[in-house]
Amino acid sequence: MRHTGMEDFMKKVLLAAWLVFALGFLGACSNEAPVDAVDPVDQAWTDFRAAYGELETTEEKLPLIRGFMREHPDTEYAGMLAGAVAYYQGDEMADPVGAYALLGETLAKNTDPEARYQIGMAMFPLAMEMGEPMDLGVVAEELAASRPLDFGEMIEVADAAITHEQWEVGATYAEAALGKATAEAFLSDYPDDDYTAEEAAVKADRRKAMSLANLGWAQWNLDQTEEAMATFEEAAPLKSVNYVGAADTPLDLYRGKAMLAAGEPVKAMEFLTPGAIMGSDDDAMSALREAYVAAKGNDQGFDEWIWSERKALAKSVGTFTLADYDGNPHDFSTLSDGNVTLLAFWFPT
Amino acid sequence: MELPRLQPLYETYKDQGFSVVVIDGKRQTDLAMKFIEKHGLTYTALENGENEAEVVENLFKVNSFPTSFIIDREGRVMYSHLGFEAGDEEHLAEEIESLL
Repeated sequence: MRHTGMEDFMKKVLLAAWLVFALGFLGACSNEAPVDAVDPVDQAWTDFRAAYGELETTEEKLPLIRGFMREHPDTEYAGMLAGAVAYYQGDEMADPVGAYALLGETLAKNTDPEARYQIGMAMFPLAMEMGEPMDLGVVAEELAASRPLDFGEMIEVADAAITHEQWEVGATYAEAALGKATAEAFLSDYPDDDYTAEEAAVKADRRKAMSLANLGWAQWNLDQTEEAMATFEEAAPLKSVNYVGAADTPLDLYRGKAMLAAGEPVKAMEFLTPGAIMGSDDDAMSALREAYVAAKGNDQGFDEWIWSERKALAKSVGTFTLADYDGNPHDFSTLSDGNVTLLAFWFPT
Repeated sequence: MELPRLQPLYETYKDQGFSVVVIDGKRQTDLAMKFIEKHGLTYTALENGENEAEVVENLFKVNSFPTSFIIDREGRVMYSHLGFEAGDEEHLAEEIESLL
């Protein structure tokens, strides 16, 4: 009995030891598995990016993007590629219908709120171009139900809605964006960056100018004329201009269009001219032509007038010195001297 | 940025007194050099300076890329263009021709 007892005891010890070993082993497996094994979707994404990096033309890139999206519709990556589908297929290949169809199929299978927002935002301008009804408010609300929207998203929704004349949605999100147009809100969006109080105040003013420009134009189109004028007035002191003297928010464009609609074409021309002439803004240019016709009775002399305004507004480039990639310094005035020069600012991707 | 789209413009007009100067706003030296070599770009490519020598943001107030200016023979900025998409070449060519 004793012997048997001893055997039982030993069996228990061995069993316990095995259990400790086995559980430890299983535990180790479950701890280590995610580190060792790459998720197949992540691997597919890595492969996709490597292949994409080798391609140059839209004709080459688009099938790869479409293929990845079809393979992996319910992933965050599908959301990240939505804008590329709209751009390459919708714009570059001039096939909004095909782009919209793929994005629609993907959206139907996607369950990630972030990706669904990106897909929805990419589909919206395509839908508008095709005359398909689509409520941008629904796209924004869906993401907002999963987490609070940030300023960039609010202004993006407002801007897209207003561009496509969804005034109510535009006003709602421009007003929400205005609530985030403070230095505190800006700093809390960029906790890891070292902005001074002064820099944060400048950024907040820019947010405010963007929000008010959009809000004012939405109000104007909702027939809230007085509110719109007050909103534009509030935005006016916050206006900042770019190097060529055009406003860097749509404030002047919207104010100019409002003035034109209000029957004040001369005032409208003042607001519209810099953006139309110096900012390569087609929308501002066509409104400016309309204002010119309203002020002068016809468009005779418009092109000559544009040219003289352009010369009056044009700013001389001072010189500066930068090095090329061999380290040789170049003085800009020497490079451009007497030539027509295209000066482009870019960054490699 | 479709920087290679500037190369045909450069080749078309360079003999009529036309220059192209591009500035890498973010000082991504290695990437930029590889890109320029790969696409065979032959116009002047400069690198943005640092601190005091920084020009893209301080002098030109450019923080959206790509941005292009067309400068006339007297050194005045006559046209500015944000973005560079298919079809923009014709727009830019028109502006260049009007100044040549």
